[in-house]
Amino acid sequence: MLKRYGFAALVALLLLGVLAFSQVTIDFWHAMSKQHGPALEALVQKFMDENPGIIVNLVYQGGYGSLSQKLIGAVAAGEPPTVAQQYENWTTQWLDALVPLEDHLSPDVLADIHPRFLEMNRFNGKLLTVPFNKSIIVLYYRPDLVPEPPTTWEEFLDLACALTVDKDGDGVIDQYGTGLRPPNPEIFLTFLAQNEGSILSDDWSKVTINDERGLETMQFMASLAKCALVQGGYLSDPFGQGLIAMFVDTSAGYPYNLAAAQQGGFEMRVAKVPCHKNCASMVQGTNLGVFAMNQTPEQIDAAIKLIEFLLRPENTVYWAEQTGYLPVTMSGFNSEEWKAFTEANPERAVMTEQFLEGGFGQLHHPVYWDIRSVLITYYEQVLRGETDPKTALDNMAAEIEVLISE
Amino acid sequence: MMRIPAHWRSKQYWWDTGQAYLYLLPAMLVLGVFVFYPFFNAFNLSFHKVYLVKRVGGQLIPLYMEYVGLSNFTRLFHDSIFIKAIKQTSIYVGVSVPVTIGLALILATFLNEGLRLRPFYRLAYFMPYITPVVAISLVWQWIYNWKFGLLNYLLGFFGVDLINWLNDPRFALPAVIIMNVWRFVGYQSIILLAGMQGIDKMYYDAAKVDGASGIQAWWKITVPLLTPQLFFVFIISLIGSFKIFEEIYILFGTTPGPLNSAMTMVYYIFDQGFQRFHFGRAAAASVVLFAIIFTLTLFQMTVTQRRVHYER
Repeated sequence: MLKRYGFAALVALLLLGVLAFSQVTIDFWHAMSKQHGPALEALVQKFMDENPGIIVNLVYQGGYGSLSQKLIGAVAAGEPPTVAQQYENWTTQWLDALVPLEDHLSPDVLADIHPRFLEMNRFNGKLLTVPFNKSIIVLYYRPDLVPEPPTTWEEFLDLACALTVDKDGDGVIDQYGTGLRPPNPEIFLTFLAQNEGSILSDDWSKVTINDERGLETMQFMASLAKCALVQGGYLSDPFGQGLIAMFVDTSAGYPYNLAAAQQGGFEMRVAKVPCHKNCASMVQGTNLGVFAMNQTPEQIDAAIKLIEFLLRPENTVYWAEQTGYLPVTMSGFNSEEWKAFTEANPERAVMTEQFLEGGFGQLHHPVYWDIRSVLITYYEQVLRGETDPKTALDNMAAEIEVLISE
Repeated sequence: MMRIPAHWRSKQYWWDTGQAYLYLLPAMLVLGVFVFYPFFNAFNLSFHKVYLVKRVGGQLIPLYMEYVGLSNFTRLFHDSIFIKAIKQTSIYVGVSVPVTIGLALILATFLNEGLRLRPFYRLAYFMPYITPVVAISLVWQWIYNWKFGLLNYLLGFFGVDLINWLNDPRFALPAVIIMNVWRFVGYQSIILLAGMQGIDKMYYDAAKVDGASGIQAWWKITVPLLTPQLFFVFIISLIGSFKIFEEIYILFGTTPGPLNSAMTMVYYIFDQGFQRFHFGRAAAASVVLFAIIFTLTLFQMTVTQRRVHYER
């Protein structure tokens, strides 16, 4: 009896072994929680159903801070996951460890990614990541206080100051036209880009933030700050408390701002950021990169398949619909489904339009995060009226000069 | 030739000693991995520029280190934010440590009076110490709210104008101090109370016979005999408060306060290392922090050693 069953068992074990070898497991680390998490899980499950030989270990690593720390630890140990969400300034720390995606992604998929996003995901000319959960900066406003949203810098400033009032005459302002957050210099960078300014010259050799275009922008921020609630915390709270009439913020904050408005008992609408020389708006959110470190060729192939899957028009649209982020491919933006969705949800139409008209990303300089911290320090001084724009910008430029020369 | 000590010859000695080390082994392993190794590694890191990963000759090398001598340290002292961190940490320590101990001493004295419901008071004052820092900071975020917070509401009864605790650079550090004094007073008072209850009643009886008043008894008997506990509380509170970070990180919503007014040394280390990826610089900052705390603790121990009365 042992002979008969023994042989069958041996064959079964061998088959299992072969199956195990033909199955590929990849790790996908992310920071998507609340409603975003389930949407990602659904997509990944669909992928695994289509690809029975691939198992995707989807691991939620906490918020972005937590995810970045875990990635640091993993890369330092030489054992990063196969795929991970990452901001551009994290990517610049492990450029060497990522798979150059142009060598692996099919030309159709590459051609389909929106050119603006392609630009944002190139590092030293190589495409090392693909866009994943991308947001854009827009204007949130209360139609009861702001019947017509401002479309230019001048209109924005005038309206903000007109709406900054001391309602009960006690010397304390009860309502601010707008709000500004110093730890969120992306707003300043958006306006800087609208004024055709930049932090550094194109070749990164010179600091240009304190040139005339930078100065004009900072002067605009200083004027705006006089009619703005300046605080470090998110603006959704004071907005919901009726302290702010309109503010410029990321589209990713939409659910929180809407909830605050509902609690405050008023309607909230979304419009494009007031424009100047152009209608630029900063793109935030993370991209996906594939690590070459500690991965077998089969794992890398599986990861590439996953990425191509996520970039399919129906999937990028599904992701955008469920989460509030943007689709990332041309066919996604142009699909009937997305068109119908934006018609039913006008704020999404605004976000789409804002991105298509002027979306731009972070500077890919290796010390960008240091530059950003310097930016925040002096930006805050200007917003709080502690320093005048010119001095702040010159000090900022001097420090950035030191940073990029190291 | 050196004479081998007699007890080294006994088998029993080696057996006993070996056993002792075996019992110590688990703790030594844990300490070794989580305390000693990071400690020496940090020293090493502080003299290098660290690349998280670098491709060197076709190989991907994680934690590629490049020796840079003292440049991390010189860079530190040219960073105005680091200097600010040292200054602000010192202010925080200089205010919160004496204030907490002072209040804890007063509180312990009252608790020692044998009030009714003493167990309740002990629990009430100890609770903040055992509550997770994150929870405390989140609640205090609301207590400190400018327009709707509890603290401003109560201060309003005394005619105090609205203070923007979390958004005004002048009040950021005070806000942190108040919250932490509240948090640690209970814990320290329990320790001091335990010390007080260990003081022999005969001293008080003798004092009464000599006609001493309550205050005199407190100052001449209680406090001097409490010095071992006071010393202990002083040292751990000093060392602990130099390391303040989490409260600030959460209270100010992952920022070091308005205009960096709540930037502390550990926050600086965290920011440099885990947000800006400058591991060498962060290590150098932690070495500086260690040097400061070590020097202060040495100083403290030698100066106060003479004034501490240990019961024999």
